[in-house]
Amino acid sequence: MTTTTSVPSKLSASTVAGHDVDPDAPLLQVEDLRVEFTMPTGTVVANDRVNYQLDAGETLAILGESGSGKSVSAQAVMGIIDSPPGAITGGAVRYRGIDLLQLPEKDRRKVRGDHISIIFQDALTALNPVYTVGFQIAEMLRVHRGTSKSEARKVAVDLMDRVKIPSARERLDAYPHEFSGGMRQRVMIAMSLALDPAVLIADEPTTALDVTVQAQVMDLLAELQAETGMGLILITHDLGVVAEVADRVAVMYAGRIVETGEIDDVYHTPTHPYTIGLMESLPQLDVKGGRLRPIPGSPPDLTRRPSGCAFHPRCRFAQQVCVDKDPELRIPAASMVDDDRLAACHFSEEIVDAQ
Amino acid sequence: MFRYIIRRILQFIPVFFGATFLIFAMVFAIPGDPIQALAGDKPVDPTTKAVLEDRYNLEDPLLEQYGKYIGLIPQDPTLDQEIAGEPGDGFAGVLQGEFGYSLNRRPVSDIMADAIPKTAKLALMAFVFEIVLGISAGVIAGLRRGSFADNLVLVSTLAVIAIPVFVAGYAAQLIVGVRLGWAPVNAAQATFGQLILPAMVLGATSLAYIARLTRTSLNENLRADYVKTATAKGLPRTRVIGRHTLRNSLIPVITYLGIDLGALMGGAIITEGIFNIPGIGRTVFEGIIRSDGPVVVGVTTFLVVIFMISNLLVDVMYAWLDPRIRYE
Repeated sequence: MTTTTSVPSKLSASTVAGHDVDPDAPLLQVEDLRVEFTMPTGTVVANDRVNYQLDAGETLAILGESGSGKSVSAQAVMGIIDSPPGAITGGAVRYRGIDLLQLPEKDRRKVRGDHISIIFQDALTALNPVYTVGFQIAEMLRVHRGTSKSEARKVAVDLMDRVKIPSARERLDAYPHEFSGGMRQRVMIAMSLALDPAVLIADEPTTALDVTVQAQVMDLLAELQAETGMGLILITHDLGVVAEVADRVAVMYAGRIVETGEIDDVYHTPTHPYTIGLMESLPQLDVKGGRLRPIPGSPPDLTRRPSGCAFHPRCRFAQQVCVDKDPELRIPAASMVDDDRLAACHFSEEIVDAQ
Repeated sequence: MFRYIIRRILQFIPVFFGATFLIFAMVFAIPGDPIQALAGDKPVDPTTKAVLEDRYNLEDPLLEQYGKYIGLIPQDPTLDQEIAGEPGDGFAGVLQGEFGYSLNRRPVSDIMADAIPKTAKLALMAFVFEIVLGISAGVIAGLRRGSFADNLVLVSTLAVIAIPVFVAGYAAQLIVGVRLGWAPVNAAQATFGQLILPAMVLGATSLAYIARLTRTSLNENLRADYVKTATAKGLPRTRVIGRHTLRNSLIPVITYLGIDLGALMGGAIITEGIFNIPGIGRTVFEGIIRSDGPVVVGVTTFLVVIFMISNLLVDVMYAWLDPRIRYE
């Protein structure tokens, strides 16, 4: 998926919701994003110093366990964090150079769904149960473009055809609960692609699906991305999915990105102990009779974040410095690792040498 | 759906017979002699008493009385002839559209025709009042959880629920009607203007429940995934709330409203008493005092039918609001 010739139609426009774009800026850039949730038990920093960048046609996988903050970062980009209790307390989300966090709500709304779209994990709860799928897809065009009812329905049929829903015309007036899980997720994808967005965020799009259907949905996403040239952020905890479709990966732990880089590099030479742990917990076809090595312990309660490096209580490389000092995201100075890599570990070099 | 409605209407039949029989049996069981009650303290001539008991079938076994009342068993046509001036065919019961005669010889259907429109008017006014204000208050409170408006709605509805209708009714009558003079104290003609205050009193408790129900339901639905999707689609906030949240939130409210419509009709007894409205509440009350079986059973039968119809309407509206509900 790295090679694509098509470019999203959105990128030809020089303004977004009335704001001038920076033609040299990357498609999407998240800078030092900080998201906090105020809970009765205390403040939870769900995202801290989250940085990543996405270009057109690129697939960025955000990898992490439940509660690592990956979905929160996606919702922050969309601007749909439940507030209260959640609030973005720092950083910037730049879409083609425009900081979305600074936009007034009415302009922000125009970016949502039109320029940046999202699909959720469970299409059954994410689609409104009381409206037909045709209505819900057509609604995008009706609201954003003011398309007429009959025209919007026609486009909805085309979209459903495009995501390979059989006999789309007849199924237009069916309700979400009348579809199978895989078909429902296709409806969700059709809806999110209705306005040809430049960025698509897929928040665990296959987690609720059967394994065979998972593959079909991932193939469909890859195909649609190749067609449209959109940037895809794939949020998942499934290492297998990441390996197959992603160009780059960002590994999140306890609200921070702990390692980023080209997918093959990161898989081949991880420079953060958490990434290593993830790799080792993955079953391998070519290693016979070996045991899986799960990461000991469980992810930290974010109201009681461990001092220093949040991963230190579970880390087999941990030393005193890890308890005292939170490591910055930096380029590891190891010979086998290129400049594109960033990792937040005091001992990245040692870890690489030890492998 | 059509078949479902037909089946539901067929279910009306056993419910109708069961409910009317129970009511009939309960009136039958009221202690005291209705003929004696007619005469008050004076002694009743035994011959007159025997004639009257015969006319009203009071000496028959319970089931036979019920059968004659409902119109399944023919009865002596002389009563019809004597009161209405023409002979009946013998079958003169509820099923034939005849509700019989009250103990003071008025056709019960006439009594009901007088009383029902007044109560219906009162109940409908209360119904509209509680829907409009209750749902609005619930939506305002639900959208701004923890705000001043939310707390105001919570506290005021709690107060309304806690105060019994007879206290609220007399208090409203005294303050609004007598002291302030804003509303008539007596609603004997049951005109629109006269019924405003009684309707507010009658609808107040349900209004409070509706406001709370709407608030909770809206609150819950606002956290639903599909509301997040609607926001992520870039829809304006008004559409996210109005189109995608409210409709789902109103499903439990509709259930309550369906039950409430029947309850308002039947529950108007106290309100009608306070404001002197000659509706069915007062008619039933007087009927019970006089052990006037035909009146009590007639009016209650009407209420049973209203309950059944409004419940059917609720079930039909359910399927319309939530397409996941399909009746087989």
